[in-house]
Amino acid sequence: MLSKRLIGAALRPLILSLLADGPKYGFQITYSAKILADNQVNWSNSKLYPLLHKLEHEGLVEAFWRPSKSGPDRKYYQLTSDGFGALETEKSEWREVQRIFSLLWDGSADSILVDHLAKS
Amino acid sequence: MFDLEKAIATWRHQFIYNRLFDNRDVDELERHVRDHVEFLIGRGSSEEDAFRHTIDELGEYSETESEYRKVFWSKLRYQNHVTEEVFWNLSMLKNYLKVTVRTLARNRTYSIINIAGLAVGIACCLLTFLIVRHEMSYDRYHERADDIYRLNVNWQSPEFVFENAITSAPFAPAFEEAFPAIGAITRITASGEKVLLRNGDTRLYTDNNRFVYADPSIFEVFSLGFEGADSATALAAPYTMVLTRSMAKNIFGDQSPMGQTVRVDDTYDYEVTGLIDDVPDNSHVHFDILVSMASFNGGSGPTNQSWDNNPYFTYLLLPQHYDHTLLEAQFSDFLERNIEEDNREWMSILLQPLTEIHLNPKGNDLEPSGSETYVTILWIIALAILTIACFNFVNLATARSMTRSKEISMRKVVGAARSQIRVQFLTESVLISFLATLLGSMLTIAVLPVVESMLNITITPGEIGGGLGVVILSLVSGSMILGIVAGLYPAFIMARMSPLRLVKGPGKSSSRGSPKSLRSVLVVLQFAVSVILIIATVVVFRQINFMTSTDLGLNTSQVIAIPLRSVSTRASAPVMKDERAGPQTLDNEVME
Repeated sequence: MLSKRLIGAALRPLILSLLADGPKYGFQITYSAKILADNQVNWSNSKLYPLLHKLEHEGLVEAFWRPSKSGPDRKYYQLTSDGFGALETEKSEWREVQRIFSLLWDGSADSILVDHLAKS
Repeated sequence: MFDLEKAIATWRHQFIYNRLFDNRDVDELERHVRDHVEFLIGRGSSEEDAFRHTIDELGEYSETESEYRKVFWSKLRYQNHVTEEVFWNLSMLKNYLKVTVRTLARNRTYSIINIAGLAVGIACCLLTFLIVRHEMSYDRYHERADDIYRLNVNWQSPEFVFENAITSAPFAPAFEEAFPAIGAITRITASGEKVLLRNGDTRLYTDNNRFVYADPSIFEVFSLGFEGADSATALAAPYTMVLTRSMAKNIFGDQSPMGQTVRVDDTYDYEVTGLIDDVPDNSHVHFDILVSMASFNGGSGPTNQSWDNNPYFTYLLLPQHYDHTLLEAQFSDFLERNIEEDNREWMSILLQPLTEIHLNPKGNDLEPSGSETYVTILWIIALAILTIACFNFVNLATARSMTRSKEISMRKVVGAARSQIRVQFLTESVLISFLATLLGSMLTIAVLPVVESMLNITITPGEIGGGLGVVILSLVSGSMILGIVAGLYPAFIMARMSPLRLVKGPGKSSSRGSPKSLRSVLVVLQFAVSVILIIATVVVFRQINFMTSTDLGLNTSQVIAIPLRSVSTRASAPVMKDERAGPQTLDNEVME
């Protein structure tokens, strides 16, 4: 199970990424995240909606309501053009993080450091 | 039988009165619950299990509330509802104030005890603050107070150090020559006895030490408000004097004193060459008359050039922001050059900042001084009294808050958040604190003359510093902090309790951490501090009583002291002695 701290840091890029392929409502987002993470993501849903509202206020997502058959209407969220831009930034940052960890964990970091020291 | 619609409606109800959630937020959350429940039912769960699992995953109400609070103001900005929210909060504040006033009016005895207790504590604290400020304001009225130092000569041996405020006559001229960095240097020495002043038919005596010989440079060092032809020469010639305005009025009435003469001790005529302001109460030395140093010793000036004859106080004016320790570092060379070896090994010289003289007196100081320890003790007493008053306030507020449980539970039931209950109680305690501060300030103003007369001091508004605006601002902010500190505990206790417990009452619990146990601790502390202060007061009172009422072996009301100043009065002393055997009014011993 992923730690709450890590989920807290990854929630924003995760939501932006999930919305990249089209509008989704709250339950769809949590459900998709769980399936993709093989149930290793166990966030409190109470964090999801305030974060979606924050992204909406920042202009990264826009929301619209659709009527449902029973009960209240559904609120859908979709990325704006700024949201797509923000997603690209998030991607490059996370890829950089991934690259650093790959170097550290596959054993090639030491040789890079030694080469760097030799050159300098 | 579990009813899903009823369960969802009940769950939804908890959000609808909370301003952190608007209807659309609650709709969105409900939609989430319904979607999740439908999904789980589709997977084979029962309605009840599906609902409970969904609610568990959604998180507790307080957690949800806390997450929504983080985006509350940005949501209002997004929806352009900030102004409405501010007005709503102000209207709630108005409601809290209205309820507070009603509660205070309904419980008059409690309100009077609470406000009066706090007001007395605040008054004690304010009075102490004024006294401490007065003690710390000594000599600060001089324009360059921070650059003025007194030269102290210490006499020391391996066994003791005698810190001495007075120096010998040659120090000043030798210093002027040796240290060109010194801006100005001046000496004063007081006539320790009363001095008879005469102008025509007006005769009056000065008090002890109020007739002071001074170098002409005194006006360069101190800011005395000189008025006259030339401050540089006013005290240059023998038998010239400068009077304080009060003394000038006493001697000359409404006439101009400039250029007139005053006969001193029926012996010498002094010419008045200037006027100065009356020396304020917060000065370490007081004088009514400054006379030229050249008049000393019957007009011959400070003739004794011995380095170990010490009747003078020597003051130095250093350049602005000059580090006086740089000067002190050169003193050992100075002593080596000027003092013979026998005296040198006993003697050391130091500079004492003018503003520290009152609270750090040295030997032979002209007037009784204060003490830093005394100021610290005063602060401790003031804080102890204020703490007792605060404890009393917290105790009463906590005890009373329990009787308001129905009101609080009703507020909670109709949707008041914990933060709102806390704000309500804090508003009340801040309002009470404001009232107590107002009352305490009035009490301080009323009692101040009595305290001034008891301590023989005069506290001027200038000593408080900052002007009226700063004083009012300090009082308002101080009372606000006091109200918040004192109200914090009752506010948190009441906000924390569940409506059910509030309606049932607090019960008999007195477990650790409960309001009752804290109240007990506060009461014990309050009593302990009170008992210590009462014992200290009784001891001091009895000591003062002992000093004033002990039989001294003579009846002071039947003894008179007649100063024999002039030669002619001294000559008549034997006549007075002879009167012993004469009229019954002088039937006691006459002593010289």
